[in-house]
Amino acid sequence: MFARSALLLPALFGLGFTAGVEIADPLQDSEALAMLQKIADAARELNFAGTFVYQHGDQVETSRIVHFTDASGEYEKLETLDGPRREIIRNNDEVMCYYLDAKIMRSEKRVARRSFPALLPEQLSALTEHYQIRKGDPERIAGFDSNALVLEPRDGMRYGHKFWAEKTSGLLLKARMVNERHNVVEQFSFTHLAIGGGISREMVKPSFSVSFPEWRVDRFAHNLTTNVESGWAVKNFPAGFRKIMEMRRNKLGNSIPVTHLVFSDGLAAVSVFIEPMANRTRINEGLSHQGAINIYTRTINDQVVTVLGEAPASTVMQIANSVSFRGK
Amino acid sequence: MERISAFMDGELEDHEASGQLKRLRDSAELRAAWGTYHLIGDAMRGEAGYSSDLVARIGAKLAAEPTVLAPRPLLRFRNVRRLALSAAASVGGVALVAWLTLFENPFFPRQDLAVTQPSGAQTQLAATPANGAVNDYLLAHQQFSPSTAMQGVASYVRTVSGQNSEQR
Repeated sequence: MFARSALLLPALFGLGFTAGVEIADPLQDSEALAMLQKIADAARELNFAGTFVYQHGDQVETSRIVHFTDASGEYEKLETLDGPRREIIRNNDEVMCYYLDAKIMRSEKRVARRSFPALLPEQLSALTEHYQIRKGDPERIAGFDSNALVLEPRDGMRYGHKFWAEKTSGLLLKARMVNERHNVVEQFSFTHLAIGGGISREMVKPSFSVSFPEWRVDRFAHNLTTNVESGWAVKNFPAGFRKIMEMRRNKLGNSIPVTHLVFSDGLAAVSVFIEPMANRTRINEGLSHQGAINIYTRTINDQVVTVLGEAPASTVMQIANSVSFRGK
Repeated sequence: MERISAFMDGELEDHEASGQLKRLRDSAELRAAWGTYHLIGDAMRGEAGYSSDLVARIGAKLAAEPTVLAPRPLLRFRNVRRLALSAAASVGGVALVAWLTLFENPFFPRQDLAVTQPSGAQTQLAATPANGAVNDYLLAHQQFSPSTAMQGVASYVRTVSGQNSEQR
């Protein structure tokens, strides 16, 4: 029957606090790039262990992270300390997510070797075209002095970013994404951190082993074919975004592959997944989110189109609404 | 107009009801009558009414203010159409959200909502938490996020964040 009444509910939106307005300190593009490059290098090359908080909406979650690197490569371990016990282990290009509560292990194989901020010149110009870049005020975070970098979007199609990097090493101490009202949509921040010595290979091994048949292994993010021509296209993606990859992925137990397209503006990425309806047991159409990642699902004929990324919902929806099959 | 009141009272056959619905959608006059009849009904039952232009005012606010589109329910419950709309004026992080639970509401035909394109800077869309159905997508996406290059697997905490229920 028809709903007759309209309820007015006051609701809390966002984190309820606003990032302060800072005095602009314009930065040369090359300086900004150097700082971003230093952050990425530090994340790869340094050994460190610490505790960080991840905030999104009104949620705050604490996790522990250890990063270890030696001649054999890069290893990382993340353990959630709040909520369901989950663990992420990275061995070079392989990432494994353990969901202890559900006994699922998902593995992912990295293919994006040349990812940001190993920027190509045209990507850098795209970045400065769509973000205004400036220095922020130096701050003390988790006991370390930091330099701050602010990337403010020039339109409403992307979030603003702020990075605080440790003064000497460049290691990222804090990262914040804000919407157009300067409300925080997501924030990572170390509360405790040790850089350098005292970290061993033992500290980045999984805390438990996967046994069968209790555990299920999902290798959707692992199995893929790159350089495919799926015939799917996005006609109207937001300015500054360009397609960086097109691939085909296989789902366990489904013979029909899923098409995966990735678009990025250099600071944010948006993925488009196109999957036959026959593969799915459930479809949740519309908008949802996981942390700062907005997710929009719609159907086109017998295909389920899911678009997700760390971008405003309007951006994710615009991309979803302009997905079409242009034929092979 | 008699048909409208019969419709309201649930006295119409299904095919007639859907015809009536279509007329409601197309006629501002009928919609006004619909609103008035409901106000009369509410007054007769002693329920505190809201002013008859509420729908129009909310509609106007929606046109000017951020829109919240909630996900549609599971496919098999598709005909139960619930749309949450927001007339949200965010002040210091606090927003007033008008939730309208509509079932085939003629004032806001769903088609119109679907084509209401967000208008850049003015638009704020709210979303409900993901329910775990796309966890494999989230993981497959994460490596392409530039944040991963800057903070390694710390950014993967998004994909295992606790609010997200995992499904077998």
